[in-house]
Parts: sequence; C-alpha cells; structure tokens
Amino acid sequence: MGQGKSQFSEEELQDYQDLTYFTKKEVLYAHQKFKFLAPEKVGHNKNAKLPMSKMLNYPELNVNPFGDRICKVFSSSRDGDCTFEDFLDMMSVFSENSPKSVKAEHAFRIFDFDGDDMLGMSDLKQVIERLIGKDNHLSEQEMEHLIENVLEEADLDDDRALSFAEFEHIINRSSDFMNAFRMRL
Amino acid sequence: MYRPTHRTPAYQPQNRMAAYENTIPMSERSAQSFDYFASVPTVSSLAQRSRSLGHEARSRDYGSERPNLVVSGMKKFTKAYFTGPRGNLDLHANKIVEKLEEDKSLMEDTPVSEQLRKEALKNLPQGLTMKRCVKSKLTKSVSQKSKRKPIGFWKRLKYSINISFSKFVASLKNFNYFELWHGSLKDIEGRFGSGYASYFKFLRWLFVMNFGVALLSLGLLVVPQIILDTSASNKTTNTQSFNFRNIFIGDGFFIETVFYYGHYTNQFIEVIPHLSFDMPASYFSVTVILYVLSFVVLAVSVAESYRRTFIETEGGLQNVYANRIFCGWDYGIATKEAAQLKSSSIYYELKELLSEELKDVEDWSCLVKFWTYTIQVVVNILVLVILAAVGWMTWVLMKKSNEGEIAVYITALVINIIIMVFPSLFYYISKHEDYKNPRITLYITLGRTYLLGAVILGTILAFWLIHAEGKNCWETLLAAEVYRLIIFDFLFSVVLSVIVDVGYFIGRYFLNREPKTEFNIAKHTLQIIYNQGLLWVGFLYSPILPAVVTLKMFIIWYVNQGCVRKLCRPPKRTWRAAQTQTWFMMMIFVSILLIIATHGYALKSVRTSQTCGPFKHYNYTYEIVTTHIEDLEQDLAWRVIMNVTKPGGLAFIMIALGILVYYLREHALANRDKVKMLKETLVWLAKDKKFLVQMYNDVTKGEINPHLRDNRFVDPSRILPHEFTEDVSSSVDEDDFHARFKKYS
Repeated sequence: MGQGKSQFSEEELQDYQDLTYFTKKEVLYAHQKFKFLAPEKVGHNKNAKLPMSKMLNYPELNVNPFGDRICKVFSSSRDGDCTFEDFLDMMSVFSENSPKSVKAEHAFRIFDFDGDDMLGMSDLKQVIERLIGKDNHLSEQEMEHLIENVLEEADLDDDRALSFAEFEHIINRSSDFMNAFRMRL
Repeated sequence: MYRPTHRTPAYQPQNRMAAYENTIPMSERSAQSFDYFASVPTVSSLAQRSRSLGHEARSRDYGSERPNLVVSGMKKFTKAYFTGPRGNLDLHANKIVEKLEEDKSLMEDTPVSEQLRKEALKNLPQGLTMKRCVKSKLTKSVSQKSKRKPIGFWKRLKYSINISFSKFVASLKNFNYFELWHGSLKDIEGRFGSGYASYFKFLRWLFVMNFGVALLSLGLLVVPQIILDTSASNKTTNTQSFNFRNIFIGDGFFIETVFYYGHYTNQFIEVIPHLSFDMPASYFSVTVILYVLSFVVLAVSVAESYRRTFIETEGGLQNVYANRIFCGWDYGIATKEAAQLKSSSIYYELKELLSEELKDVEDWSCLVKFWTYTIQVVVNILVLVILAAVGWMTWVLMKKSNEGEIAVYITALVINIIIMVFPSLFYYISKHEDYKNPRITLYITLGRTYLLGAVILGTILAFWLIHAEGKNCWETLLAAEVYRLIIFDFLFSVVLSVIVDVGYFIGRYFLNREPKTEFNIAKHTLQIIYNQGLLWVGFLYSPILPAVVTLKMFIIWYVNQGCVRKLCRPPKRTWRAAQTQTWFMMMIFVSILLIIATHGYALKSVRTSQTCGPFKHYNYTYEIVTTHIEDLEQDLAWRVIMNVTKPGGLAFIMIALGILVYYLREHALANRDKVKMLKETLVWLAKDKKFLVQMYNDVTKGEINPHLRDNRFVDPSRILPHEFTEDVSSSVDEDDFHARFKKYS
C-alpha cells in the first residue's frame, strides 16, 4: 500500500472518503486496481486519463454487455475515457453501500442509449439485444412482443417510453436489483 | 403509430424537469414505506408542475432538516443543468454552488451542517471531479459567510450522535480493512454469479455470529472452569483415559472435561483471593443472554430481509419482464465463461416467458385437475407419514442407544443417512407432483427437508426431556448426543459428499461427458441450517459447542469453496437469491424460536441432575433466578415487573401487540389497493391528456371537427370509446403544432 499512499495527500484522501461510499483504504485499493490497467501512465500521473479501450480491460467491464455504456456514463468528458476520479466514482456507485436511488439513477443513464432522458423502444431493443448476447437471436416478432410486455408493466402513463420515474418505480419493486447492480472492488 | 408529442424538442426542457420532479416522491419512497403511495404523481399534477417550473422551480423550501429531501432536490437541479450541453467544469460547479447556497441548513458553519453537506454531495449524481470542485467552493463560501444560527438542543444532540456514530462506523471500517474472505467471495461472484455467492455470504454470516458466541462462552465459562481445574487446590484428574474414537462419539474422556455441562462446578471460583467468580450464576446468565442475543440478531435480520424483499417490493413478482431486463445482468460477473452462460440463461428465460405467454393458458379438464390435486394431497399425506415414521424411528433408536457403544454408532449413522438421502427422495417425489410453477416445487421440497431436520431434532430433545429423571446427569448425555450428531454430520455432509462429488466428477470425465455439475445451493444451505439447529439444541448443555461448530463452518467454507471452484459450473438458471434467502432466514428464525421455547420449558419444569453440573443444588434451573432476586423483592422496579408479568398484564401486552400487527397489516393492504387505483387513474388521465391535446390542436388550427361541434365538448361522456385510442399525431403536423403551441403558451 505504501506506494499508493505516496501518490495522494491526506486531504485528497479525506475528500474521496467524504464524497464516495468508500473508506480511505478502499480508495487506495481502488487506485491500485486502476493502476493495474495502465501501470506506466498512472505511475506518472495518478489521475491520468485512460482511453475507453484500456478501461474495458477491467474484468467486470470487459464481459459486461454494457461495458462501454458504463464508461461513457461515468466519464467526465462523456466520451468513455476515464480518469481515476471517474473510475472511483464508478466503483463507488457499484459498491454495496450506495443507496438504491443512486444506483437507479446511473442504471437509467446506462440504458438510455440515445440520451433523450427516456427509455424508448429503441433503447429497450438495444438493452435486450445486448443482454442476450451476440450468439442468440430473437425474431422480430418476439422482440416486439417482449418490448410490448415490458411497456405494459412499466409504462404507467402510456406514452410508449419509460421516464426515469417509471424506471425507478420498477427498480423499487425489484428485490434483485441491489444484488445485481453491484461490483465488488 | 402514436408518437408521444411531448417528447419533441419544444416540450423537452419542461418535461424533463417534470420528470425529475417525480423523483422526489420516488426516492423518498424507500425512506417512508407506509405513506408514500399518497405521493405517486399523476399526470395532471405533472402538467401543473411543469407549468410552474421555470428557473424559479427550485424555490421549493428545502429548509427541512431531512438530508434526503435536500439531496433529491439537488439531484433534480443538477440533472437539469448537466444532462444538457457540456460546459466547462468551473461554470457548472459555480451554478451548483449557487443553488446549494440557497439552502440555509446546508450553509452553516457547524458540524451538523457539514455532515449534511457531505451527505448531499455524496448522493449527487455527478462525477467525482465535479463534486470535489463543488466541495472546495462550498467550504470557501461557508467560511466566508459563517453566520451562526442556533439550532435546538435536541436536534443538535440527535445530529451529534449521528455524526459520532457514523465516524465510529467509518473508523471501524478502516480498522478491518476488508470484509472477511473478500477475495474468495469476489472470485466466486465473478466466476459463478451472485447465486452461489449468496450461499457463501449466508455461511459467512452464521460463521461470524457463531464466532462471537464462541468467544464469549469460551471467555466467560470455559476459561474460568479451566483455571479452577488447573489451580493447585482443586486439582482433579480425569478418571477415563483418552481414546481416539472419543473424538467421534464425544463420550468417555470428554465427559469429565469442560466439554459438557456436568463438569462445571456449582461453587464460587476463588483462585485470586477476594475475587470470586459465581459459576452457576455466570453459567445461567451467559447462556441465556447469548440465546437471547442470537434471537434478537436473527429477528432483526429476518425483519429487515422480509421488509426488503416482500414489503417494499410488494412481493416483487409482478414485473417479470421488466425485472428480467433491467435487473437481469449480474454486474459482478467477471469471466467470459460466466458471462456467456448468463447471456444464454437470460435468453432462454425470456424465450420461456414468451412461449408461456403465447401458449394459451392450458385449459385443464376437470378430470385432470382432480387427478393432480388428488396426487398432491396423497403425496403430502405420504410425506407426513414418512416424517412421522422418521420421528418414531429416532425415538426407538434413542431408546436403544443406551445399550452399548455399537448402538450409539448405529443411531448416529442412521440419522445421518436419513438426513442425507431423504432430501433427494423429496426432490424426486415433488417432480412428479405437477406443481404449476418450478418455484413452488422448490419451496415445497425445501419445506419438507426443513421439517425432516426439525422432526429429528425435536424427537431427540423431547426424548431427553421426558427421560430426564432417573438418568445420571442427563444434561451431559444430551449434549454428548448433539456433539455426536454434529461430528457425524460433518463426516457425512462434508467428507463423504466431497468424496462422492469427486468420484462423480472423475466418472463423468472418463465417460467424456461434461464433468462439472451445478452446486446445489438449496441443499447446502439447509445443511448449515440443520447444523445451526443442532448447535442451539446443544449449546445450553455444552459451552464449548459454539467453538466446535465455528471450526466446522470454517472447514465447510474452504471445502465447499474448493468444490465450487474445481467441480462446479455456473448455474444455468437464475437463482433468485433475495427471496430464497429470506425464506432461509425465516427457517432459521423459526428454529431458534422453537428451540428457545423448549429450553425455556426445560429450565422451568425439568428437574436438574442432582449429581453433576452447576445447578445441582437446585431442583429446577430457574430457581437460581428466584433465589437471586429474593433480595430484590422490596425493590419498586421488582414489584412493577411482578405486576406486569401477571397473566392479566401479559394478556394486555399480547393484545396490544396483536392490534398493532393487525393495524400494520391492514395499512399495507389498503396501500396496495390504493396503488392499484392510482395506476388505473394514471392510465385514464393519460388518455384524457391525449384527448385534450387533440382538442387543443383542432381548435388552434381552426378546424374544429364537425363531429365535435355538437355539445360533446361539454359532455365528454358522449365520446365514443374508440376515439380515446385514436392516433393523435398522424392527423397533425407536429412542427406546426409546436410552433402554434409556443405562440399560445
């Protein structure tokens, strides 16, 4: 841990502890993980910006069908490239201690591909396609039927798209969300 | 195709604000589970809000002290700014700070307000870089303004307690760097998904609890006794020599050690002069307190878990599709193999759901229905008969087991074979019962297996309590029995089952089949529940048992973990961890409840052995309490207690609790109805809106529909139903509409 410690001032660590759901030690541990993605670059500059391709080497993001979306949502420059602070933020949201509302907020943004603040039909379609993987295919009709069912359950005001409120409504009703939307550091 | 008009650009800013406005009730909901339904937004209120939303929209009073309100307020605010075009960091930070500064309670130079600020910032849906920038600006501005406003004493007290508590928790977290076995859990979660991990978490939770109990009982009971045994004045020698097989049956040599109740002294231990240790009182209070403590811990966890999975989510089963899609992916997965399996499991589940839906609901003929129900009834009766037979057999075996060492072995062997074989039998039976849902099949099998364990434990306990009189030191014999079962259970369910699994693996490997099988979460969880039940049965009479069980769980952890890693593959079907886990918790809770009740009876009404143990001076164990409190009888508190515990008082308390539970239950039911009603209202209002928009549209265009020219304008009930669902946008040029709308609004 000694190496990591020298890169941060006590003040910065305190800041990180106050602003995330981590303790100081966990912050340092997260930094180690970050450094592991690009030892050279991060060794020079602790808050270096790593391109999305590097970020996707992180095991959980690598196999996650929404890996690139996650990077984009958390990236402060919105293009998927992440600094350490972005990474820490990501880990903090995915940690066990972050509340449901924060997680739901980010999940919504991850699923909102076109960024119109609504999960429309096209968003839902992309989510489903990514979920079932490249090897599996649903026929056009099945997909339509599926989306229809989702909307029937979730779309309360009948506008053929899910607003954040409607999305959160679903999330609040799900006992599995907190278990699923979580990465261990 | 109807395209929602309000998603077009002209509407968007307002609408977005409105959408976030909705997040207030939504996010507060988790905090106040009972009255939240009242605040589900309706479309009309939504429209009203969006009208009033300008830049002044945030003028809502955040003066309230509740941090979550503050947070959700800011959440909305920042979202509104930052989902728009990205400007530079500083500018945005300034804006956030400006808004935050409006809230007086956040801007005071007190620790309370600082804590609130931290909370607010933490829950802000912003990048960390932004948060830090905001934080430094805020701190600056706070120290500049720094005008103190007095807050009430109680509030201050409450906050300072909260703050010091959270500081304490933070320091505690810092202290134990990471949770126990963090690495292995992460590895299992990454490779096999959160289903398997939930088993290991459950095991870890019980392990930690037992570890705590073991430490206390070792420290307060075993160690003092050992000190007494080894002190020069009281040196006792064990009359029996140690034999290797004693470890398995727990008799002989062990009978006269700190293992069992019988060995504990009924005197004061006074090794250091003037410092005496009252063994009987200590034995009684430590065991009772530990039981009560375990009970409380369990009750709290069960309630918590129940609240999370069943109350807050209303059972959580209605939104099957949305749940599969939004909560389907397990973000902890970290290997390609597991990810692929997860993808295909989601795929097959979705397919299954769709095909179930498309297939018409099977219309079972009366005869088939009758046949299935008959089978189910018959099987359930059969299972009850089997359980009764198991109970009877245990009883007979217990009777025989006094007749020599071989009988002892046979008893333990037979009981363990039953426990090992019968769950598979139950599983097999339930497959032929044709329950509609695989989940019901699973729960029924779980329930039966649980009952099996309960019957066996119950029979053993009942046997000893009934045959207590006339046996020499029955407490020790009962404890030895339990110890034996724990050890044999270890041999069977850990050692033997590993050998079987490995053999199976090798066999399949040489047959060129996929050698890896699925890890049976349900079976293994029930096994540790049974194990825990054994511990609670025996702990009262064997203070060292928690240590033994802790050790056993420690070994089980590593053995099962090895098994999972080497011999198992990720599950093909999703294991609904949260709900099943709640059932397991309830099972374990029921176990401890029943066991404590039985022990209570034993302490009160079963004669203690007169030749051994700390309570040999008393006829009944509870007399230790009465003798100790005789001195207190004059005390006022005591008299109050006596009056409260009179039958009338107790009945009153019970009735009050009953009423409370009834009230809460009714409340929950009423809320459910209300939600249903509101949902319907929402849909209807949406349709109203659609209709009104069309009206508006027509009127602004000056092309009032000839059909509408009659008095249906005034009397909406005369509009035919199909006009509600009529496509709005197809008849209207959207851009034109928005241009006009802007002009008019």
